Amino acid sequence: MFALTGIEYRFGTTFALRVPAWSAAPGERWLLAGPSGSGKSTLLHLLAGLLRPSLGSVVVGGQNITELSDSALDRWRGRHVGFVPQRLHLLASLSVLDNLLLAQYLAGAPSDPTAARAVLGALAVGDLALRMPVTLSQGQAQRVAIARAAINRPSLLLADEPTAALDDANARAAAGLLAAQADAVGATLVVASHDGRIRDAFARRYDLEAAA
Amino acid sequence: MNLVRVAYAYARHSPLATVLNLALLTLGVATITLLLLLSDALDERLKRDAAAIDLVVGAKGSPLQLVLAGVYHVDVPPGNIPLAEVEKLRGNALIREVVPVAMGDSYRGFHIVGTEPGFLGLYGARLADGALWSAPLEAVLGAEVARRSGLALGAQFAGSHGLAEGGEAHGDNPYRVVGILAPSGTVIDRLVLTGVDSVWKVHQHEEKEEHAREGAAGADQAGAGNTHAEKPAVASGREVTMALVRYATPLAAASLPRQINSESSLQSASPAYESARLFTVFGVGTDVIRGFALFLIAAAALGMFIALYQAMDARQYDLAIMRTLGASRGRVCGVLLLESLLLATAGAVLGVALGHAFLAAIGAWLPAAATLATGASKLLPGELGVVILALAGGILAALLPAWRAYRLDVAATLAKG
Repeated sequence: MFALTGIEYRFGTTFALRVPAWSAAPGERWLLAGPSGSGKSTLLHLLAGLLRPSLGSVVVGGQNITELSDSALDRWRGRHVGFVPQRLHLLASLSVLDNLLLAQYLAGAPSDPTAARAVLGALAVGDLALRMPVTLSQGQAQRVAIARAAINRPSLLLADEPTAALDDANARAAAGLLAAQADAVGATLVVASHDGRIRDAFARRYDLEAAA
Repeated sequence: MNLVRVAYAYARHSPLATVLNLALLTLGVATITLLLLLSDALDERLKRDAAAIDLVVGAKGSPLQLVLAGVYHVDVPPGNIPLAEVEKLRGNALIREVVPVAMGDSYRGFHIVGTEPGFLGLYGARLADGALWSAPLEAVLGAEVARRSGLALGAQFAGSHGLAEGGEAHGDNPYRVVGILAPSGTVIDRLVLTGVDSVWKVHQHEEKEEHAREGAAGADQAGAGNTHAEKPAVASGREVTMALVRYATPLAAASLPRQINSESSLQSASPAYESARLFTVFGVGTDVIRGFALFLIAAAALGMFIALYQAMDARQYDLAIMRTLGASRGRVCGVLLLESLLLATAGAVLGVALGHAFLAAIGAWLPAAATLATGASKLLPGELGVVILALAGGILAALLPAWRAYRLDVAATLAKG
């Protein structure tokens, strides 16, 4: 599904990240592990095309995304990547449903409220569709963020420390929901986390060393 | 879902800033719109009153006073001129029409004008009821005079001496209403017309009395700043106050005024020229108000800029998410521009509407401004300029925030937040 080869990411003159080789097959579930500061977020951003590597290539679904122009990369990301950021960042001025419809719109997909409600329903937050994000609990917001990442049926579903703000029960549930959504849309799942509570939920694991 | 909805959602999300900036912009646009409408209506009104009058001929003095008194009836006239001089003008080949005018009395503040039937043609007026005057002391009322005084055909009224209200009444020689004019939207609506001989008759009878009072009455009429020794406008003998002249050919404009000014004891004044001169005087006042309105629009643009820029600290995460969801750099800066433009458009539309509503309200409350308010229902080309100005303000306000959005480092923003 994706293959990273000879990746170096430099921040100024210091190496922030080095990934000699890492590849995943479609539908696999990966845990991206490593201590804080080891570059987990950076690696996710490289996979999502939010950053470009200083060296090396990122091939996702047969497409070498390092060769795409800026705007083509934006379009590609909208269509193929679902991203759950650590702080979720639901748009506070839009309702839960509108947050999902915005994701459809920005990805260039036709507006489909029925599909949006179905995804929310699958994540057990269907009755919150018309609520504003500030009224949601952390666990509810997490589910909505996962729904927003999954709404366009991405081939690559990425989550950055999805359980950092959750209690044990919710943390395990979140890992399960990400896996279930990845399965439902046929996406490859990569979860960056240093959270021991969810380690067992993933069959595969890529470890990053602490930055030298 | 589209960018307009997103922009609208953001504007609604901070209602206080949105409403404040909208109000500032609306007031600025409304003020400029009102000014445009008023000066256009005033200009049109001045032009309509003077449309058929090429030249005013009267006694030596200020040409502006001659025009204000003779065409617009808002000033007292300078002294009188002999009717014989006016008659001489009738023979001039350059002149199509000469209409003598005798002033000096008024009825409830409405000027009584002794003249000839040709006067109606100068203002495009026609009778609504009754007939023109045919004998001394018969009067035709302008539409507004008739409406405000309630005088009907056959009614009698006494003119009072002087052009201001409250002069001595000429009770011995009451006028009789024989005709009422249709509304024309010109100054003739506020005049009482009669024959020149009526004015002579009224004053001949009271001549002696008048001479005794002359100084005091004259001072009253002339008012402060008017240095012309006001005579009772039409005294004994064949005198009139001035003559309104229509050229036979446009060529007359080149020679006739100079000819009159140099070859006779008369003075000529061109309404077009004098009212243009007047406009330059009040132009200063409207420039000040216009400057103030521009200041309001600038303040609204600044307010929009500050609101948008301050919101950027919180908004950067939203924008980063939009980029993550597939939005290009152009699109996220488009959201900010749209939000600002949406507000500017609303302000411009509301402002133009409010400006027109102001004018309609002024017309409804102030009867004197009623004719100016007729412009409330028409759109001027200048208003498009105001709308463009408001939109430009909106774009200007969003430029820097939009640039920040364009340059946004998505990965770094997501990592820190």
